[in-house]
Amino acid sequence: MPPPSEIDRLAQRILALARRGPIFYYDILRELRDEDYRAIMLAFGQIRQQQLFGRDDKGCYVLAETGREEGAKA
Amino acid sequence: MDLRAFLTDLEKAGELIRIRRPVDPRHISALTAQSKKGVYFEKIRGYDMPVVAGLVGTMDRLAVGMHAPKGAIGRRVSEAVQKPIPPEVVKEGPCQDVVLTGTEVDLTRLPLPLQGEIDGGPYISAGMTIAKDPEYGRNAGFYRFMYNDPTHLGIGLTGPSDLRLFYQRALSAKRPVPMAVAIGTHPSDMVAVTYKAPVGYDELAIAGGLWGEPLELVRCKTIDAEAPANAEIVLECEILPTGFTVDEGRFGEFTRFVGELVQMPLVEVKAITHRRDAIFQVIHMPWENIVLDVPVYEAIAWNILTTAGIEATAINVTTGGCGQFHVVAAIKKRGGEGKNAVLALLSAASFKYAVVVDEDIDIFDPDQVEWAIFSRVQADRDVIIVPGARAKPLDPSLPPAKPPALPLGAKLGIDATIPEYAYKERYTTITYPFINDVKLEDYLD
Repeated sequence: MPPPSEIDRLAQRILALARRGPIFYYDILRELRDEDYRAIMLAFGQIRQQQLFGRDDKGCYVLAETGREEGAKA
Repeated sequence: MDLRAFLTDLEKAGELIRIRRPVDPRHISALTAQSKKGVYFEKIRGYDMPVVAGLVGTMDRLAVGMHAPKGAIGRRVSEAVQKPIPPEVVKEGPCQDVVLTGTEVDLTRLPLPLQGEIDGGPYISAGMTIAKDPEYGRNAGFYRFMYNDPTHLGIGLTGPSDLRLFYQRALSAKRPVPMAVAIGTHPSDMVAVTYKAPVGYDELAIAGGLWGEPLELVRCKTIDAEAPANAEIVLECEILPTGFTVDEGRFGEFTRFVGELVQMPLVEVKAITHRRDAIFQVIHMPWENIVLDVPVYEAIAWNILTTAGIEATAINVTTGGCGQFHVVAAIKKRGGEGKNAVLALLSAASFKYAVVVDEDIDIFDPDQVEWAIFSRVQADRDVIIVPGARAKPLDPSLPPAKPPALPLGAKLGIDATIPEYAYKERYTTITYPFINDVKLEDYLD
C-alpha cells in the first residue's frame, strides 16, 4: 500500500495533467507510465472523492470548479 | 461447477495460455485482445492475485465450459428455464476464506484493468450480481461496475431490468439495495443470470437447472444477501439511495462501440471476501459479453417458437449480430409457418433481423444461409419489414430519441423456406456418383 504522501503527490500530478486539457483515464496511465498502477488508482480515487473532476461531452475528465483551485496550488 | 473447473476444461482442450512473466496491469487488455485463446496471467506487477481474461471469447470455448456442442447450448438453457432447480444456502464456502471489512475494504487490492482507451476508468466486467428486494425476493444479473474510489463503484444500471426496478423502489423508500457482486464464476452461472426472467423468478434456479443440481450459496457477512459459495471474490455492497447522480462510462459495449457517458447510482462496498488464492476474472469486451448473450437469446427464440406451435430444429443467434440482434432459425415447416416463425421471432424486443430456413440448411454455415436466401426468396413475397417497433437504444443506426422515450426502429424478417407451391424438381441438388464407394485417402501416397 503506497504511503499517503505518495498518493497526494500523484493526485497533484493528475490534476496538473487535467489543467493542461481534458484527459481520459488512459491519458493518465500513459503519462504516468513509470508510476505504480495501484497508487494511480488510489490517487484518482482521492480526486473523485473530493469531487475535483467533472466530465466533458466526450467523457474526458476536466477540472471541476474547486478542482481548478486545487490544481493551481500544485 | 466453478471457475477452476472451467480453467481445467479449457486447458485440456488447448484453449488456454498461461503467461508466467510479470505483466503490467496496463497491458492486460491489449495482451488479451491479441490472444486467440483464453489467457491466465499468473503474475500481475504490484498485485499478489492472478488474472484470467478472455476465457469465453469464442463460442467454441463456451461449448468447452458447457460440455455441449455450441449449437446445443441455447436449447439447454431453454430446457433449464422450464426445469429450474432452486439454489441451496450452505453454511460456508471458499469465497469467504478471507473476509475484509471496515478500513480493510479497498478495491485497489484487486487488479482492475482499463479495458478501452475511452473507458471512464478501470472496470469490474465479470460481476455477477445477486440483490434482494423485500417484496420480490432475490434477483440475479450481470452488470458492469466502474471504479470510483477504494470503497465505491458506479453501476451500469442502463435499460429496464429487475435490478433497476429494485433500485427505484428502494429510492422511493430511501433505503439501500443489498447486493453481492461475485467475480470469478463458471460461465454457465453467468449465462443463467443473464437470462431475462420475469421479476420474482430467481435466475439462480436456471443455473441449477443447467447442471441438474442446486447452485450453492453462502450468506454474506455484512448485508442481507447471498453469494455463490464457489466464487473467487465477493463484494458485499449496497446501492445507495442517492439517485442517478454519479457519472459512469464511457465503456466499450457489446455492440463493439463505446457507449455514452451516463449518470448512475453509487455503490458502496461494505466487505470484500475471497478465496485464499483468489483469481480475478475479466470479461474482455466485446466478445466475451457477446458470446455469453448468444445462448440466452437462443433460449428466448426456442421458447417463442415453441409457444407459437412451430417445430424448430436449430437456432443461431449470431455473434456478428452481437449476440442479440440477429437470429436464424431452421424449422420443420408446415404450410405458412415460414412467415409465422418470422413474425414470432420479430416479436422479441431484441431481434432486429430474423431469417427462417428449412431444416436441410445448416444455419451455422453462413454460405448455406445465403444460398437459401438466394434460392428460396422473392423479395416482394418473402421479406417482411415492420416499422415503428421497440428497439434497443445501443443500436447506433436508430434515429435519435429523447429520454425517457424509448427508441423505435424497423425490423426485417426473411422467410427463406422453399415456397409452398414450388416445383420440387427445381430444388434437386447435385450428388456425386459412387461417393460412398471410394475414399480419397486410399489413393494418396
